[in-house]
Formats: sequence, structure tokens, C-alpha cells
Amino acid sequence: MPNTKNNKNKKPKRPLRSLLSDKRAISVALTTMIITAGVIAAGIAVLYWAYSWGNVANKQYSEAIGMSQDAVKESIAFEYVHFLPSSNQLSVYLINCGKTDNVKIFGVYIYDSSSALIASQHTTNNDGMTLTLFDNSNTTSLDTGKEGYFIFNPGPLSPTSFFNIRIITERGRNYDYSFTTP
Amino acid sequence: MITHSQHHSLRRNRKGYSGIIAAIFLVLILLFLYFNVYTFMLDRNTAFQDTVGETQQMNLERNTEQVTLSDITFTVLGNNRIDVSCTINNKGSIPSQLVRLWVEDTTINKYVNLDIRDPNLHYDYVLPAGSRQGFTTTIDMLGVSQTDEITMWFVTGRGNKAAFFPYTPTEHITAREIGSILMNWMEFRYYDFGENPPQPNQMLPEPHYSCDVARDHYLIIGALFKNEDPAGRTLILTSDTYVWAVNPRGGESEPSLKTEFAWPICKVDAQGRYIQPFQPFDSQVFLPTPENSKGDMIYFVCSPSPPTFTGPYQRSPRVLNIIFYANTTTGAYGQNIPFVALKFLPTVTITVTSMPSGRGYVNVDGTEITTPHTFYWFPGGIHTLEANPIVPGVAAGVRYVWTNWSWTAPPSGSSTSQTYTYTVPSSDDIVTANYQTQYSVTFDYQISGGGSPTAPSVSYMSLGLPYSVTAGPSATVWADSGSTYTYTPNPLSGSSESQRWWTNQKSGTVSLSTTISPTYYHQYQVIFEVSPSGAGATDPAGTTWQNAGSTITITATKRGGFKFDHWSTNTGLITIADPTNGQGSGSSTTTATINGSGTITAYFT
Repeated sequence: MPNTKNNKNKKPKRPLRSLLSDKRAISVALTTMIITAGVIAAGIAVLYWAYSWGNVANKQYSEAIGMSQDAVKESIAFEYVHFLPSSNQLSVYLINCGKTDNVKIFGVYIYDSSSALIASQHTTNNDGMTLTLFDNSNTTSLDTGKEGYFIFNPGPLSPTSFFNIRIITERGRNYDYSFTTP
Repeated sequence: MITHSQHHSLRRNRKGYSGIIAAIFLVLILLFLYFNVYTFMLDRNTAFQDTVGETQQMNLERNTEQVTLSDITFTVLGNNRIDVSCTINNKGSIPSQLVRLWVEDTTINKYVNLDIRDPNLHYDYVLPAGSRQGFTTTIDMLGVSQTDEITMWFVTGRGNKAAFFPYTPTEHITAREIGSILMNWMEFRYYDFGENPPQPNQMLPEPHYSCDVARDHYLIIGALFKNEDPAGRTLILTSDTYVWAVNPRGGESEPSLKTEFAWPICKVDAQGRYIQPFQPFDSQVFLPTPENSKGDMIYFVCSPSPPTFTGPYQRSPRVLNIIFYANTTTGAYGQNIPFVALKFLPTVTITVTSMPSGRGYVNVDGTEITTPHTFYWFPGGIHTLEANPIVPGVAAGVRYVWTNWSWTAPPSGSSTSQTYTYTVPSSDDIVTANYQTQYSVTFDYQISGGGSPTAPSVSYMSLGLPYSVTAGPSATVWADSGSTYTYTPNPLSGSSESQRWWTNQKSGTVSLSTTISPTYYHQYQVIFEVSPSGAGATDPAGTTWQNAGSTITITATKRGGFKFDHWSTNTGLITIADPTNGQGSGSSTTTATINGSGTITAYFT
């Protein structure tokens, strides 16, 4: 009986004891936990990497597509082009009639009636050419609905002649117009 | 379903649960990536489609907007101010916002602009569709005067111009690419062949640099373009290259207006002669255009527009699309390129001619033509007809002097304005520059028989007006062909009752360049008498004029029972050769030499 009783008392403590006494079992459990934790960590890391990569790619692509979209929606119209022979000043009045803000003028080209390039001017930085708004403030970009002008000196132009002017914007769009010198 | 044995083996396999977890993570990652990419692409596509739709709507509204000005008046107030008034008509189907007024004085090369959105001006700058609104303002412009040429226009928020221009310059529309090749259109022109198709080797007529084209004519359209492909690729046009004209107003919403037709590319040689449309093995190679080059021309033949291009949309712009089935070094492809917007308009036939006809008489819109010349012009168009005032003839001594313009279209009329601003009527017309043919004529004269009378005057006609000149070797004038001239007086001044200088060529008709020189004869008065009176008759008889120094035959014939006796004269300046010739007979015939005035008497017994 005592043996039986002892056996009954010892029975519940047997797994823990056996586990504690069984070094191999402890090793298996630890290993399983470590591997599981490693896999979870690695999975989370990969998940985070994928998320980050997606965000970066999304951002870069969005910027690229956004610029294209802005370029597509961009529209500039010439209000008036005036040449003053006494000073060789060409005043070019523009209006942003598109759906895109922040339109910058990067270059202007003058062609004669035979399409020969007469004069040109480019910006040397990313700011765009300086535009004067009708309130006499200066800016380098035109927002939607805004009007502005720039003055360009193409040198002497033949009187009573036909010329073409082309402006290039930061987004790569170009706009042509024709004018006649006095 | 995992069996007990499988579960047991799984428990025994310490890597089993890790593998399952890893697999779950892998699936999650893949799902995450797929979802991310899908939503990303969906988002981008939606955004781009929205952008394209928005841009198309923007362009559609800009093309639909139609604001015009009428009843424009400029009143210069004298203190460098101008009263500007006009009526603004929104003829489009959408409201229009006006943002700025521009006024230009082209005479003094000055301009001003006015922001009409300024609330202080109190203008209702948003015009509803179909509305009309009067506009009046006063602007300052230094140096303006009433005689200056002034024009004005409004700029709308969509970038259009509302103006009243008799002529709107062609706006260059640039197509940027053919496929992936960067192209740059530089110039557009067309050649009008009228109602007849161009024939091989036919020279191209004068080009037109306008986007208004005759809808019922054969045309050759020329386009100058550059191959600006950064990769330096070559473009090869073949007989598969076509140009399409489409009606942009047609389509799904208005299928009845959807009209399109194609024109083939054609060959024009260096001398400007039309050859033929491209044949299957013809090709035109466009290498990358060198810098500073003007580019290369391509031509295509346009048949008259089909009858479907009629009705209310016949004046609508047609976008001329270009489809190039063109070969490049990287392959063959086609691409639709909006090129230029054309207006297909009906025309009337206007013949500009001159009387006489030929070259050098008339300039039309600044270009010299050979008359008669047929134009196909649009009704209401304005052209400048300029007549050369004096055109020398091919032969020496001939010239043609312009007198007036005349036309036949009702109401017919004429104009004496040498540079005539011609407004094309709604029906065919013949406009004629009328010239007067003139000859260089020298009005001289000669004296026969001596003497020094006063030189005669000559009256003649020049450009329908009478003129007079004193005859002589230097009296050279331009006289109208077919007109008459008259020498006066006849006899010349200096004549008397006994002598005169007289001509029987005092008048005539101018018909060529020459020297007209009538002869004035010096004549003496010689009186023939019969004695006794009634005894006979003489020939000549009575009072006569005989050329000085001439020898004339004189005859006397008896009457009744008389017989001729002799001739007698009262002056020694008249010599009778045989005074008694026929004495005793019934008649006498002899000669008399006249060197002065006197009387010759025939005596009978």
C-alpha cells in the first residue's frame, strides 16, 4: 500500500520531473520556441520589407506618373507677344489655362518664317525663368488661372516679318505661337 | 484531417510547426504583395484615366468655347484716352469667363491691358452660353490719335481669344511623335487645283498658307517636318502611308457626322511638279534632320471632300490625322497623329483678268499674276487687287495705262481705286483691270511750195481727255488708240485771200506708233473768167486755189455762135503756154504755170 500510495502521490509530478530531468526534452522545446520565434521574426521582417518596398516603389512611381499627369493637364496660352524694336525687347504674356499649378518656363526659342532658329534662352537652374505677374511681383512659376509675362531680348528682328516663338516648360511641354514685328 | 499517428509524428518532428508557420507567413507575404501591387496599379490606372478624361474635357471646352466681338468702336478722347466699346457674343454652348482686355495701337506700336475681373470695374465677366453683353470702358494710352489703327481682344480663362480680326493667323500645331520617332512639324501649306485633279508633270500653283481649304477642290497639301529622333533612326514613307481627315464632332454621340477619308502620299519633284501618288515600290527616306536644316517636305493629294461634308458642320474644323505605316530600322508600325485643323469651305470662282491680258498688269494679294487667272476664293474673303498703272508694250511706242476695275457679279460696277480691296461675293465673278492702249505719236507737218506760215496745233485724246500740242518734229505725245486727231487751223495762220497753206490731211485715227506729218500746200487764188460773159466756159472755172509753182491744164469751150479767140492774164506771175491755141475754133486747151495770184480770162468772139 505505501508503495501504492507513494506511487499515487508521485504520479502528478512525474512529467515536470521527467521533463526537468530529461535534458533532451528541454532542448527540443527550446529549439521549437526559438525556431518559431525566428520564423515569426523573419516573417515580420520580410513583411515589413515588402511593405516598405511597396511604399517606396509606390511613392516613386506615383511621383513619376504624377509628373506625367501634371504634364498632360498642363496648358499654357499666349495672351500677347509684343516686340519693341528700339530696345529689341520681346514681351511674352502668358496665362496658365490648364489644370496644373507650378508651371515653370525653362526655355524660349524664336524661329523666323523659314523655321531658322533666330534666338533662344534657357534657364541655368531648376527654378525656371523669372515671370512677372500683373501685380508686378516676380515668380518662377504660374499657378492655374494666373497670368504673367517675361521679357526676352532676341536681338534685332526684321521689321514687318513673321516669327514663331516656342516656350518649353519644366515638364517638357512646348507651346508655339506666331507674331509679327512692327 | 490529421490522424492520431500523423499528429504524433508531428509532435515528434520539432520542425513541423515552424514549417507551418513559415508557410502561413509566406502565403501572407504573397497575398500582401499581390494586394499591394493590384491596388497600386488600380489606383494609378484610375488616376491616369481621370487625368486623361479631365484633359480631354479641358481641351473640349477650350475648343467649344466661341466668343466673338462685334460693334467695336474706338473713340479717342484727345487726352491720351480711348473710349472702347463693343458687344461680346458668347456663341458657344458653355459659359465663358473673360479675364483680360487687350487694346493695341498698331500705328504707334503700343498696347495696354485691363484685368476685367477687377471688382471695381463691376463687369459681369462670366458670360452664359448664347448671351450677348455690351462692354464699355475708358483706357489710357499715351500718344494715341483718332487716325491710328487700333484693335482689341479679350482673353478667356481657357486661354482663347475673343477678337474681331479680319484674318486669324494660322496657329501651328505640332505633332511630336510618329510611333516612337520624334517628329516636328514646321509648316503647312496647300496648293489648290480647282475642280480638276492634278495631272502628272503639272506645276504646283501658288501655295496657300491658310487652314481654310476649298471643300470641292482637288488639293495637294504639303507639310514640312523634321526628323528629330534622338536615337537617330530613319523614317521611310511608303505607298502605305496615308493621311486621314476626320470630323472630330462626329463619333458615338453624333454618328451621322462621323466622316473620315484618306489621301495618299504623293511625289513632287524638285522643280515643283506633281508626279503621281506613291506606287507600291516608291519610298521616301527621312534621315535624322541635320541641325540648321529646314527639314523635308511631304505631299499628299486630296480629293474633293465627300458630299457628306455639308450641312451645319461644313465649316467645322477637321482634324487632319496622319497615319504613317512607316518602316524604321527597328520595325514597321503605324501611328495616328493629329496634325492640323482644317476648315472645309465652299468657294466661288473669281477670274481676275485685264484688258489686254498677260503678265505684269495685276498683282493679287501682293503677287504678280498672269491674266486671266482663276481663283477659288471663299465668300466674304478680302483680297487686294493692285493694278500696275502703266505697262509698257512689247513693241516700241506702245503702252497700256490702267483706267479702272470692273466686275460682273451683281451688282456690277467699277472702281477707280488702283489698289482695290475686293470682298469676295457669294457668286462667281470676273474682275477686270481695264487698260487704255496708247501709242507714241509725233505730230509733225510739212510745207510744200514755200512760205512760212504759223505752225498748226493738233488736238488729240489721251486717257479719254482732249489735249492740244503745237505740231513739229518734237511734238511726241501718248495718244489713245482709236482716237481721232485734228490739225487746226486749215488753212494755216498767215494765209490771206490771195494765198494760203492748206492740207487735205487735217484729221485721222491713231492706230499705231508713228510720225504723222500732213503736207500743207502753198496755194494761190486764181480766178477764171469768160469774156464776153456767157460766151463760153472754162475748166477750171470761177475762183480756184492752185498750188504754187504748179502747171495746170486750162480749157475753154464756146457757147452758141461764139468762137474762141485767146487766153489772157492780169499778172506776170501766171504764164500761159499757148494763149492763142484753138483761136477761131470752138475750144482751146493749153497750160498755165502758177507763181502768184491773179485772173485768167478766156476771150471769145
